[in-house]
Amino acid sequence: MYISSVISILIYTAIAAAIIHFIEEGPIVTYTVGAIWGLLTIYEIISPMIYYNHYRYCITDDRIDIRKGVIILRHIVVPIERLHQVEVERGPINNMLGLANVSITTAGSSVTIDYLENGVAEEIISELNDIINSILRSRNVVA
Amino acid sequence: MSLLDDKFKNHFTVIIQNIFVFLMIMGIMIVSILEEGTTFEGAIPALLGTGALGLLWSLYCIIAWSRTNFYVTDEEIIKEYKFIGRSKKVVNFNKVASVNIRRTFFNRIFGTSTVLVNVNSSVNAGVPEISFVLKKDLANVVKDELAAKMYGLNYTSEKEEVYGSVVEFSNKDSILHGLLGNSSLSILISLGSIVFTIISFTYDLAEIGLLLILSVVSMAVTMISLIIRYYNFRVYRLGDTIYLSHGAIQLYTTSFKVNKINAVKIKRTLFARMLGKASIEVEVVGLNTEGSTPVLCILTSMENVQKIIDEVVPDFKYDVEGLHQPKVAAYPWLMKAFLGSAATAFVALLIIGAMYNDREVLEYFDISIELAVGAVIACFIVLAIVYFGLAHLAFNSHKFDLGDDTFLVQFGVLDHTRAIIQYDRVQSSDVSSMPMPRRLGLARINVSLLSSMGKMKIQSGYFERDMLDKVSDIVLERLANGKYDYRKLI
Repeated sequence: MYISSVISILIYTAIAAAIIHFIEEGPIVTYTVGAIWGLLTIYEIISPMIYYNHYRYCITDDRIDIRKGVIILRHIVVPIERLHQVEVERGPINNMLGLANVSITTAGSSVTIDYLENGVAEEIISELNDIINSILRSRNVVA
Repeated sequence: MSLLDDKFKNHFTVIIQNIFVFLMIMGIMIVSILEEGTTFEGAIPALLGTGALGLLWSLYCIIAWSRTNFYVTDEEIIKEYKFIGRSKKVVNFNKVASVNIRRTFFNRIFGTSTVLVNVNSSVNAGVPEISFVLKKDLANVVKDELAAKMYGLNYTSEKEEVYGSVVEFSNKDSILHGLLGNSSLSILISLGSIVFTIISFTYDLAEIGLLLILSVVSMAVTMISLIIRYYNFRVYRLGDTIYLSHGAIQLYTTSFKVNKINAVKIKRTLFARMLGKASIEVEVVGLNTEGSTPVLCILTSMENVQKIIDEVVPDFKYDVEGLHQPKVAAYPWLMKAFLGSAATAFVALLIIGAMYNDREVLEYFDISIELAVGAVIACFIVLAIVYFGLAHLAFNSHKFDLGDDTFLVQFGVLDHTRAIIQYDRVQSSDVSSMPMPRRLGLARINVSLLSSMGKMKIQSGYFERDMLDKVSDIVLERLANGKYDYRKLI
């Protein structure tokens, strides 16, 4: 998360510098852009810690429960019966650190469980697949 | 003997259509690539290249047409393609949301129709799973036979004429729907544009006036196309199938099973509420016709709306008006209005500062700095009043209620939408809260559903967090106690 924040801060800095350099409209624009850059930078510095403290996930036999957020706190509930697809995603930074995201897709939504260790992510995928298969098997028996 | 007893192909005019579209695109590309003043000789290489590509494309279109076949069995419809690669798409009738007919510009020229088979899936919801082009009469017969296989009825288009609409809609209703069925905001903007157009022509600002006229014309075109589209509107139900029929120039006939409906939305725009009227939309995956949600009932009286719900979609009947947001919910809305006003004040200050720094623009228009500053402040005050007014309306409009099989989410500020959702259709729920509502024990819920556009989220107003959490609890409870039966949804 901190690496993502550093990348974001670098991008904000480049954009702010470009605006100040190319739009020569005097101190008002400079102060405004500087203030926005400052706020975004502070947010990027403190948000990973808050995000980490708020982050919780729980997988039971019938649901996936995720609580996350920095300013807006979200409580997402996905019934396992609604799952269509589960997928492990590894971006370059996550890959470097041995982390992965689990992407969970239903027919009408998708959520991710972020920053898991590779082994844990694979375990979750396998566990969810087992639960989905058992649901499908029970349906076939009924049919 | 029916066409469906054997394999069949697209009508051959599909080849002509594909070649024509290709040549049009290539023509536009050549015109844009060639420099101004290029002679015919200079354009020969480009024309020859286009000709060669056109020939190859034509060959491809002919072979692709000849190698694409469709089959229909008792249980499924199959599209088979054997050319460079092989593909076989099998769509089971259980999965089909609707079979519809559309007549495009090319269809009308060649006397054909396109049959669209839509599947109940969020993937490619706007694109039919299988579509084929047949001669117009033949397309109607095939649509009937497919519908009969899907719905298990001895169904024919001719029978549609026998069944009257659940509610008789007059042409006046169609016109009213076209005029007031649009969002109130766009109608208000158009009305404002008309007023400013008159003012701008009065004060010799014709350039601004012309721009405003364009926005009025575009609104008028939308209204007229809605009137034409929903002229002669009829809705009725046979067994488990709902039929819609409407259109003045082009006839739209749509049919879908009741169990494919994910949510029913009763829409009451500001102007419709003034007249005591409402319309109904249904979210059915695969029925995203020309980018719009299927309309189950055009703007009509509340009695008629209730009658249609009772007779066509009784599972979505919801008699309870719904709970208003708690009184403390006014604070988050007021906070939003305050933040909006503060941001506007900041922008206003920037504009005033810029005007003092550079007065050339003001001098060009011969406007004094005092007048310009006064105008900016007046705009800020008007916008602040609008923000707080909207906050007041938002506080009063949002409603929520939990029923036995369905629950209610009413949202919107100027236009109210009353969405009735079955618990069994909820894909996921997301209860979220910002710092201020959190301290007040309030949150908003986003319910994810399948919709005609693929997927959608319906967001509530600010309600007690515990009550919103009950949505997911009930969904899971129904899964555990067997009230949820997936077979009913197939």
